[in-house]
Amino acid sequence: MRYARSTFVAVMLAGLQLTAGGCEGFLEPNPASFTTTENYYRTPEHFEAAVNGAYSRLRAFAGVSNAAFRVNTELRFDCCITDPHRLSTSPSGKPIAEWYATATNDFFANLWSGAYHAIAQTNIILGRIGSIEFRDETQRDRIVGQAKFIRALAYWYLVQFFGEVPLVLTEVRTLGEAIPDGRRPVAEVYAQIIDDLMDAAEKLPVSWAAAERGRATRGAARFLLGRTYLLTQDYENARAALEDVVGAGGASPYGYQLMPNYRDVFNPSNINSAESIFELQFGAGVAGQPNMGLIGSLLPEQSRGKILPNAVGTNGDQLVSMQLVEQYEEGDQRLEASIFFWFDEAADSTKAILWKFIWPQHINAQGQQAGNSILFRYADAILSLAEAHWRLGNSEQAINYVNLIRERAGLLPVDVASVRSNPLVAGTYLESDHVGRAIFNERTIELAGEGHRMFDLIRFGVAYEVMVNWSQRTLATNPELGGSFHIEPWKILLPIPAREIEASKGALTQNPGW
Amino acid sequence: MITATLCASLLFVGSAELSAVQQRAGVGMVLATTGVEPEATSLLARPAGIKVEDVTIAEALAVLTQTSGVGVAFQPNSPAFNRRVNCDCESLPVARVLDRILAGTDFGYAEVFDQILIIRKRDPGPSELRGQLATQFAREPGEVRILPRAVTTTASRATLRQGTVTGRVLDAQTRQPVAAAQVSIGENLVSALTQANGSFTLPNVPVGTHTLTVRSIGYVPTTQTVTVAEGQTVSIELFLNVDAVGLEEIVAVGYGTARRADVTGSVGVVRQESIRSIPLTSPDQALVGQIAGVNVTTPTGLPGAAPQVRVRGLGAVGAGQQPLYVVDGFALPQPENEADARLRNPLANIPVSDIESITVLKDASAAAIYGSRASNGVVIITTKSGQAGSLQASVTASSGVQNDIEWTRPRMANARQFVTWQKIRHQAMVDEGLIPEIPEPYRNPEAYGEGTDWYALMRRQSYTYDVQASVSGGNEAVRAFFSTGVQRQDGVVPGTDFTRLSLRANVDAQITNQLRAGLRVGPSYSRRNQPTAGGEGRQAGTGITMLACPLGQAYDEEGNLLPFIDSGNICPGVWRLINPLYAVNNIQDERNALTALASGYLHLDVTNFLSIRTNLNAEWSQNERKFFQPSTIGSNNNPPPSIPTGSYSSGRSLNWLSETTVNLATPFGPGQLDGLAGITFQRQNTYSSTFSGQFPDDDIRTLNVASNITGNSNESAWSLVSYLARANYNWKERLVFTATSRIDGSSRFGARNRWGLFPSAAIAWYLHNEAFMSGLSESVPELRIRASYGVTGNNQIGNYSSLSTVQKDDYMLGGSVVGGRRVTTLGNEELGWERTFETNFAIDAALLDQRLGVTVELYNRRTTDLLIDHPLPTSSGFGTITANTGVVRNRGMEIAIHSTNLTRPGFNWSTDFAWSLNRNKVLSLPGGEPIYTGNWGGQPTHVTAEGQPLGLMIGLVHDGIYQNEAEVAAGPVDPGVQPGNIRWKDVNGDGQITIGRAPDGDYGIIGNPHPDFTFAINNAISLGRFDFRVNVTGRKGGDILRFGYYQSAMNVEGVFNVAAEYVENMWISEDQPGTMPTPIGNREAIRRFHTQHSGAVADGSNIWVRSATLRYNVPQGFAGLGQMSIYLSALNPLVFTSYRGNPDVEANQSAGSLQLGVEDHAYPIARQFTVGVEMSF
Repeated sequence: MRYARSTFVAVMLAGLQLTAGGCEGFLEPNPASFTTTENYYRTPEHFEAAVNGAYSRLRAFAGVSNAAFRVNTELRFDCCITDPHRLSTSPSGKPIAEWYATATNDFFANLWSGAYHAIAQTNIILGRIGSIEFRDETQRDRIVGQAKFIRALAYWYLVQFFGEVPLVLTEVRTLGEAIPDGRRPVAEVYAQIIDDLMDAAEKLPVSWAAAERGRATRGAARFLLGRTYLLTQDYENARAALEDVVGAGGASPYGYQLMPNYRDVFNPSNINSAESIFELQFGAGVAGQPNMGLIGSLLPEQSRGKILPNAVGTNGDQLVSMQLVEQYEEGDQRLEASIFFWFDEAADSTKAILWKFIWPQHINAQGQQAGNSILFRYADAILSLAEAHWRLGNSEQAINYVNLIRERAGLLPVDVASVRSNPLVAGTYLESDHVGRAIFNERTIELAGEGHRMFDLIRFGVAYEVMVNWSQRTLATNPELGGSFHIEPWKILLPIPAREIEASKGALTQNPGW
Repeated sequence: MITATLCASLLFVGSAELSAVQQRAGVGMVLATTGVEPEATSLLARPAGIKVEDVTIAEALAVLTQTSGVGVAFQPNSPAFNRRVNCDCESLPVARVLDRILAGTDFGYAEVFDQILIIRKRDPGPSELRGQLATQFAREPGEVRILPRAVTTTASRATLRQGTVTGRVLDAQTRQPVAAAQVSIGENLVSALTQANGSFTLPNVPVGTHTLTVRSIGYVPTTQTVTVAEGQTVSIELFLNVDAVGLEEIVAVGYGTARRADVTGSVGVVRQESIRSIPLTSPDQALVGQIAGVNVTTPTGLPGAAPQVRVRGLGAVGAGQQPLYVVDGFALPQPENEADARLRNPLANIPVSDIESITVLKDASAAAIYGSRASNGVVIITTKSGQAGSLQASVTASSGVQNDIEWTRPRMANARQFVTWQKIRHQAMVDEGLIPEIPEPYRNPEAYGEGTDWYALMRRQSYTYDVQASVSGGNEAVRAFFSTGVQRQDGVVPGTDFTRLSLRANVDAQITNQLRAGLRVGPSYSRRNQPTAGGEGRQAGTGITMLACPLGQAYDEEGNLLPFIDSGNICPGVWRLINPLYAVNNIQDERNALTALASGYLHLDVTNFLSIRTNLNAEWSQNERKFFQPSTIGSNNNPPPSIPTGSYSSGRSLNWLSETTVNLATPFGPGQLDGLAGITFQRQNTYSSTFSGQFPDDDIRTLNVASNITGNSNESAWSLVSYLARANYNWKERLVFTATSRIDGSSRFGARNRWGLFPSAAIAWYLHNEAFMSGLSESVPELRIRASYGVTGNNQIGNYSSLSTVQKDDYMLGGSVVGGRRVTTLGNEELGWERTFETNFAIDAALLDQRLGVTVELYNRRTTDLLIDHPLPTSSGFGTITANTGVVRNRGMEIAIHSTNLTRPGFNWSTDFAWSLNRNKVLSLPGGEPIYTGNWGGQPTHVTAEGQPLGLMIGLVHDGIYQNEAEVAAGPVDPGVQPGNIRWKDVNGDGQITIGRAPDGDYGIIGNPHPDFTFAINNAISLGRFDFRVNVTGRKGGDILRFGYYQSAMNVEGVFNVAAEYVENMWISEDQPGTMPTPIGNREAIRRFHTQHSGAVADGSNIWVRSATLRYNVPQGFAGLGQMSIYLSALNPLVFTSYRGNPDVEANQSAGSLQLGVEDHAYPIARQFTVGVEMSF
């Protein structure tokens, strides 16, 4: 009995010591369902996965598949309008579309944080890849090239949305490092973008193998470089970069071509086509992957089950404005390809639907449409090159490039003289220079609804004028929209999200007016 | 051999400086068999004058009673009393004689109420809450031998003319028998202890009229006059009232039990008796309205859902606020956050009838022994354990009916009111030229009647039943308690129900004199049906019933339920919705859970003052959810058929806890020292998986036929290592000191802050034992003051918040998925505990001859290093980081009064009153910036700012209704506004109305969700064989934000039905004004009425009769039964409040304490009436 008791005590004490000795190990959190920054970013494969993750962040943020992006770049401006007979409301989108939003609106925050989420991923890659052994240096270069392209593209959007923004270029590891230095001058941001793009253009391949198609290419980097030079008003460099992309006489060294038929550009069967420069890759019906998700917003709420039985979540968030419809020239094939008119019996009115993105035969049983979101395509490059030439005073060449686009749309070519004598569309803006106006109008029609409107309006310097005219007209025809549309010049640049200013402890200041 | 060794060591320990601990009236904290120097007043110090040779111990004790005149009670069935002893002890006092006689046995002695009890030495286990006396003596009826001290002195006289007094002693409130009460006549002329069933027999009582006195631990002594006639037997029943302060009761404290008199911290107790027969489904419900400072609310009526338990206000902001639950010593895993807490009620698996008691450790000094998890308080639940003696079986069965409470129903417009309102709206549109004419259905309101009352359609009278059976029994070596039960509750919303099957086996065994072991196993299985349409939220039945058009039909002409409210042509412009009644009947959503709590212990008495206890506890739980939605279920404006979808989720977790403690209990200096030191290890592993897919048809509902199956599985774990110590020193029953300390290490925190220290100290001063108070002993029999200070922690955050996580983030390339990764959270190596520093002052007093007990407590809690998801500038790539910042203070006062209002033979009435006040204030926040939470129309609903209470409601502020154009012109700029619209206050003074928070917007503070004070009153009345108990709670203040009601019933855009009060009170013109704004005009102006504003805030003050129970105790022996009672019980019989709804409503537990008091289409609470019977054999 005594033996039993002392054995009991001995075993218990021994057990205690054993367990106590292993304490730190016992308390070590060893997560099974995810990795940590401590044990990841060790091999080339990790960096391949990390750059894919950066693309995924870019996809979540950029392009009209993201509601915040679409509302700010398109719905806020003149080409699109919310269905006045929409029953439900969009708490974040509506104030922006009707110009009464404040800096607390989460669609502003979405753009800001979305871009920086992508940037943070690329900063980790670029900061850590140097110390990793690669057997194939080309592999490293390609990862670096893609990361820099993604970072440049995110900043490219940020600076156009918000103006001066913080430049975060290194990995954030602690609470202290998370506070930004402050907003950097626009020129500095552009310099960084150009720097990244030049390096990316050097390191990226001209094309990728079929299984890798969708990654950033040298052509994409060169194109974005050209567009950036347009923004910095360095038109000579813009022309050079864009000419490289477009090629002399329309034969692109990167193999870009205009699709013969305008509507086919958006056909989900033609993803990553020869016209595509860079597009975000989606996967309708693919497990765990998002689909474009745009269809519901484009179809009027009352059309549910009437136009497309499969489409779900139709809410009429973004219809085409009559003002856009009126800008199509007679015989422009792009009208039928882009817009579908539907008579809404309940509201006793006709609704114009942005049909270019809608492909009924590609909508699956779950209401998801296949297809990607094209950020940049060859037609944009051609028109951008036209813009560079116009800015440099080469009106003839500029109009020639515009004619490439008109030709595909089934329209007769124009020349500088006819443009000057016969403005294509009525209106007051850009009246002094009809060539610029021709380019601008061509972009309006060609790229309608594709997420370029805000940037074009600003780059051409006509945003306020266009919007004031538009809002007066819209209010007159749609009294139900209420007395919103407080258009102010300072509202064109988005506010720094209120949350960011608060969280930055004073490091960030607000844009004027907001 | 062993015993001899042990005794030798005991003799070595025993020495003259050890003092007279046995003189305490309470029994058995420590029983020494060795040298004691009793004070002269003690029975133990009396001269024994005994000389015996070769007699049994039993005989020696009998001689001792004769020679000393001291009464002795013991249980003669133990073979130990047959041991033969010698004692030539004529010069020794009683104590020394007992030491000698009992040497070598495992029996000790204690002086209780003028009598000496010989009882087995043993520390009280957690179940032995009535004190060792009860368990020692009560379990073996008929075998207690009483040797009254006056046996010899009275025998000669008494033999001449004697009678007998028999009877029972019962608890005045509960009618439960009181075991081991001492019943005596005269000056201990004759006395006896009651048996387990409360009965006693006093033989040989001299003829005449006597005063009979009953005493028992924890009760107020009671006297009654009896008249005894020669040869007659007088039978009486005596009722005892609970001692006002209860200093002698035994309460559970962390890692053991203690006499309340030794507890210096703030502790509240609920006994089984006070909650008996109330139809409760889980033990936390039993805390409703029982303890001052413990605020228990029922935010939802969902069958089987967890109530919300808050101890002394809210300290935590980002981390969880649930108290730590400890069941039979097992600290159950805490939820990771408040959302988790609502889904998973850790106690839903324990039937209330299995509970012996619930103790709440309120202040930091009491709770600090649980260290890092104790800052929200600790709830200790003790389940019943077996009692030795003959088998006792009991069966409780009840059945009830429940209905929702009419008062809480939203009153929606009927068909006529709806059409009246639509006509007004459409007429305005016609006038504006927007539409050519009023739609046909809206032209003639008079043609309509009531229409469909969707809300009433989604309510039903439902039934509940509950059957529990238990068996308890055993002998000195093994004691066991077994129970089993089944409980079912059908919800008042069709399609919802909760069923639980439970088993329990609690076995304790005395293996040797030194070694005890026990096992407690309580598996239970529960099933819950809760289809979304029957649950909570706007898309659920509770919401749809407010949205659906009253002209729509629920049934077709043949009486079949229609799947869809196809109101397109019947109610133009109104949303078409699923028929909620059809949906609950056709959507399958079943959740099953199997949970097994098991704990085992080994307890070794190394010496009589030192013991070692080791526990191994485990909770194993497995749950699954089966969901299927057939093709006949549509969605908003989307009639069926739709694609059938379904999912299957399952999870399991294992939580184990190993604890080893060393316990010390010894006289030390002039007082008694109790000590505890221990080490514990705890770990939880959780595995979960979910699979969902789409189905080709409605026939087969398992995923084997589905396509597009997606799924995932997850694992997570946490671990905790703790070292703990406690010392309690009782100095002559005048001062008690307690100090505790715990060191915790947790896997949840950063490598640099993984360990935390949680100390506490407390003191209690027993003024009534001081000489200067002796003059007041009549009016203030008990008075003590207590003070404590302690530190506790909170670790209710996610398992891996300190790590920078890299998660899957795949992309598509070339038409196929490519694996991607990204950093999703920013880790924090510095992450550590949230700490609460609490000071507590208290006064306990018993007044008016123990009829009034009052406890007043004051506390100040300061919670620092709040675990908050600190907002980061997202330019970092991260939105938040979990960090320790901010300070919240809670200050409060609690008053608890126990009053024995009336005690008459056959009539007793007592009242418990608890009142508490808590003031909550944020002292600092990260960066000093306010935290905005919630989302209503894209704007926050609550603000938490420095200098204010947590989570105040914000919104536009009502300033009347514009009556005419002149008023509109004079008001602030508010585009679209016209007469009949609400005039909003220009809070920021910029001359125009802007929706949103300051400084740009005009949101002002519109509500405070924190109550001014809360109270509870419990009345217990017994009259003859009837008992009546009623539990009332109340609260003053505590605003409710009617989010759901204003989003749905107050949406006056014409797309939904609307509240009847709106139609009845809407503004028509300056001549026909109303309290509700006009439904016509600019849409934005109208829309603001169903966004956040001061009109949507209601006062949640209420007085709520939570339960009332009337019981009839059937005379004993009826139909051969032991005891039997039948009862009628009501749950939530009455609620008095101006708020139309459940005043406890709390929609957004996921947002924690930053978003309080939000109503969002909650499941209604039910009123329940139950009939039941309790029998024991």
